[in-house]
Amino acid sequence: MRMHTRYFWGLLVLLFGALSCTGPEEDPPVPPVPSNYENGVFIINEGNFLGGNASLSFLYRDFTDSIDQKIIRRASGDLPLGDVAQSLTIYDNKAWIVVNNSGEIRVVNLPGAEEHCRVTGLTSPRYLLFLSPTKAYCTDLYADAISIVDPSSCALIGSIPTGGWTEELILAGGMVYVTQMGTDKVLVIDPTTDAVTDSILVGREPNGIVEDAGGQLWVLCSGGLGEVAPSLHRIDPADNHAVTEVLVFGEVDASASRLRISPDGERLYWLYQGDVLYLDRTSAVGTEQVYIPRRGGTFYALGIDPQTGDIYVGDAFDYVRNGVLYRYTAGGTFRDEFDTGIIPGNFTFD
Amino acid sequence: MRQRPKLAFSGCSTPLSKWGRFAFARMSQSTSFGWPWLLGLFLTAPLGLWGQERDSIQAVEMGTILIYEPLPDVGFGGVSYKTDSADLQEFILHDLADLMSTQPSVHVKGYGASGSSTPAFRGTGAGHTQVLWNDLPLNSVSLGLSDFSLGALSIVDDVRTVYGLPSLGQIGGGLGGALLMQTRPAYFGDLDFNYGHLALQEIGSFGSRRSAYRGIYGNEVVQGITRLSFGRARNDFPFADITQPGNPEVRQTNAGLRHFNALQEVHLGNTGRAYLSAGTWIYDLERELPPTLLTTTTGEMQHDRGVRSYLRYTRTMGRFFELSATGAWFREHLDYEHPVANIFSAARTDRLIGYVEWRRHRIDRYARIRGLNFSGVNLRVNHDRARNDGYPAGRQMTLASAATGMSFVARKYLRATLTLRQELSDQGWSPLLGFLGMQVQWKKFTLKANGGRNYRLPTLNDLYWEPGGNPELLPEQNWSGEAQLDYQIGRYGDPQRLNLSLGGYLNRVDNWILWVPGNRAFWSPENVQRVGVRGLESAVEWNAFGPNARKRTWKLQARLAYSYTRSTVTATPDPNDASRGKQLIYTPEHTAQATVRLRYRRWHLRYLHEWVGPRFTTRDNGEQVAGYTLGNVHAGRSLGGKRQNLTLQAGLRNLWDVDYQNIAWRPMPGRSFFVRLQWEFAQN
Repeated sequence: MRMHTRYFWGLLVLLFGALSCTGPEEDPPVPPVPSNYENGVFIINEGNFLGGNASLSFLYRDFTDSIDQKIIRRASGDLPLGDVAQSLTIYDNKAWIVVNNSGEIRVVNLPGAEEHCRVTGLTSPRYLLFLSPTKAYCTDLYADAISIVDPSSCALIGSIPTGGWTEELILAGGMVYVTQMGTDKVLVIDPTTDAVTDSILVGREPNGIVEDAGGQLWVLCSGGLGEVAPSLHRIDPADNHAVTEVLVFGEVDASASRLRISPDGERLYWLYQGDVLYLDRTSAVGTEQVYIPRRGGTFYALGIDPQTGDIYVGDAFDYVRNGVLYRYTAGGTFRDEFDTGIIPGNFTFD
Repeated sequence: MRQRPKLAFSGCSTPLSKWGRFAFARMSQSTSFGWPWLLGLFLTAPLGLWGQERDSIQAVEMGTILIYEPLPDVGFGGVSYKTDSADLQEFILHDLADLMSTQPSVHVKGYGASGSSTPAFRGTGAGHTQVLWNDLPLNSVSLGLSDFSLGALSIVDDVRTVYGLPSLGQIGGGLGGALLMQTRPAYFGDLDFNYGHLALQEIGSFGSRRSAYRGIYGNEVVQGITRLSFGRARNDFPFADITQPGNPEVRQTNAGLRHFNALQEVHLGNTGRAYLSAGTWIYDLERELPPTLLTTTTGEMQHDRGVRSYLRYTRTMGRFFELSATGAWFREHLDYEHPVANIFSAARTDRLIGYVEWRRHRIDRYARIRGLNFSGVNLRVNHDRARNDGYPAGRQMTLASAATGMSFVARKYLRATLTLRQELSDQGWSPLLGFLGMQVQWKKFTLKANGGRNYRLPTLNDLYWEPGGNPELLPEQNWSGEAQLDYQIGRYGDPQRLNLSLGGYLNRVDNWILWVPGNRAFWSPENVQRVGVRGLESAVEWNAFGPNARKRTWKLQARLAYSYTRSTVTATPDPNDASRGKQLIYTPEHTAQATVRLRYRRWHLRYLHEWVGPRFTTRDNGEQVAGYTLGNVHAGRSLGGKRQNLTLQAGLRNLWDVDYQNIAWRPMPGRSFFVRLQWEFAQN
């Protein structure tokens, strides 16, 4: 038995040795490196809901093959960006990153991406619109209000009751137009009084709004979750907010999102059922066309480069792995592709 | 002269039920059936090596009635692990998740201190583990998986982990395996009214208060067992917030919980061969759902409550067989509230179960019968109904299944089992399911091997959830095989004993169901991939007694187990899918546990060290959460005499105060303590 006992201890040592050899490979610490995030494209990778893996990538225009990943972690000494990065707005040489499920706005200085401040205390923020050095509006999923942020102090200074989920917003003709998901309305807010002055009936669940070269506002409506078919509407601010239903798409279960416009304000783009569709603002109703067909994955993000007109499409695949950015020329010709973080959801062009 | 046996509570490491010995050996002197060898097998606290311990027969006499409660037979060639009584004793006031996270090849995903916990056996998914209580399936009617945070261990007497195919003997769909929980009657031994009590009270860190009570009472005809468990915790533990500059220490918020469990059973018998059992289990768990490190507190709440009732008639059929017929009804509610989002959802499920089994009840004797033997047959019908936000009008599903088996014994060194199962559901007939197991014994070596086929039906949510449910889903198909070699030096009772075990398995799941985004506005489940799982499991256990083996003034046990699990996507519709060849998310490749137990007279000490390797959190394995090691120590001393016993216990969890996360960005408690007082009383 003594001999066996010796065997036992020998085996024990061997097993522990084996375990130590097959130990986990820890992520090497990411050293803060000086970077120059300008003249490029920020890719806002949402990350998974409750996954805490939101990230920010940056594609350099000057170096076509160069993309930096996780730039917030790199610049902050390995601190994570947060849970579900929703949007990024550049203002006053800073990137204002709205982190939806973290209930905060991370503000980093550009071009270095060092942290400037955090706007906290938000409920479920979505998009920012800057109105002045001391005022910005932030839409919200759950707050039933639009938050008013003072960019100079990174503080919340008020709110505008809206009732329900507010999404994309735009400043046009001195008024702020806000799409209100969960309803069929676009809210009109007077930024001088912070009061809702009007609500415009459009289609079910408006999720995107842009202004064309003619000063007309275009609103894309998702139709809700299987409620009605998606639709596209045009609002004429000069004609007492008259609404024209331009398009009603075919399928009730279809997905329509990410309404964008070309740099000259002449052509509308959006995602529909995994394809990129377009419509010239002056075209006849019913002439929308597939511009870029789906590539087998899940087109989730769409952006138009205001400098070149290039079309950026983000593919989220199955939403639980890194995505890909596909870049097309303004003419719709495939140009190149880049890996991104998890769920590339928005692009912001610098 | 008949000797009055003591009333003992299973799972208690006290003088009333000695740790690691045949505490009920004396029962053999009082059996009216004259099978002393049988009662000698009644182990209340076996210390078997994982994968090597034999099935034992639980025999209980109530007056003149001998009640057999055989632990479910996993057949020859299968690997199972009966949680030993010391483990059950340490976790008796906790839930299944706490216990199972210390078991080999089981990974429990815990969503924070008060969140739900789901198991995964051998690299499979959470829905691939079947959980049974007295042969009755507990998996969620709508989700198909089991939340381990709902089960209080003080409610059950035995917990057995069955890996892989041998679970087919009890139920289909356990592609990873099954967890079998049992309650059983106590042994009274004579015709007098008899009773016993067990009460526990524990206080611990972070506002934890837990209590439990078991009362057993009755006579020759009727026996009642009452089990109560209740507790609460604030779970406001401090942790370093690694998402903030400087990693400031903060406290967990919105993680409190309150739980209550009650199980009342009655066993009634008035002939020498039959008895009737009835039981009702009520549970109620109300908990706050904690935010992650990167989210704000939203005040989310979840309230689980339910009633599980059964009625069982059991009759001994001749010398070898037993017939039992069980009817059961479960009603369960799950309410969820998200005040910030103004969400309130209420789900209600009902399950009706009919279960008839005719089986051999004396497994060990049966194992010694040479030749081909019929093992028995069981028939099961489950009718499930569910109503929730996804299908407010309700949906239902009926599943009928039948299983049978044969065993073959050639001398003492070759044994084999064949188990077959056929199921019929709303989706039609299943393929013929089954496994062939074999056990070869040669000198000190024992080789076990099995292989076969299993499958799993889509859940009600998979089929009918609106929007997204996919009625066209196919069942998941599973082929698997495994082999394990055991080597033992020394025998039971020797001053020293060493057991070595090394095994491997292969598991393939086709038509794996995954909820994926399509080009519609919502996600849908699809049969999107094939998953291949292969792994290695090894264990070393050393037992030693003091110089006086009979008195066993001291006893030492050391056990080390290591598991390697590689669970990868092997085929997808998209050939360029980056998840191909990658490890499934939250499936650790490496896990290990080391346990040292020391018992000296009335003192006992146990140290458990566990290591869980890093786990990937994305399908392309681009992100991972770091591995961790934890140490838990538990010590106690018993005081008392023949009729009553007092045990004082204390323990430290996460002894080394490790900052770790089981799920990414969900902090877990650092070092915490508990102090527990346990009182046992028996009339005899």
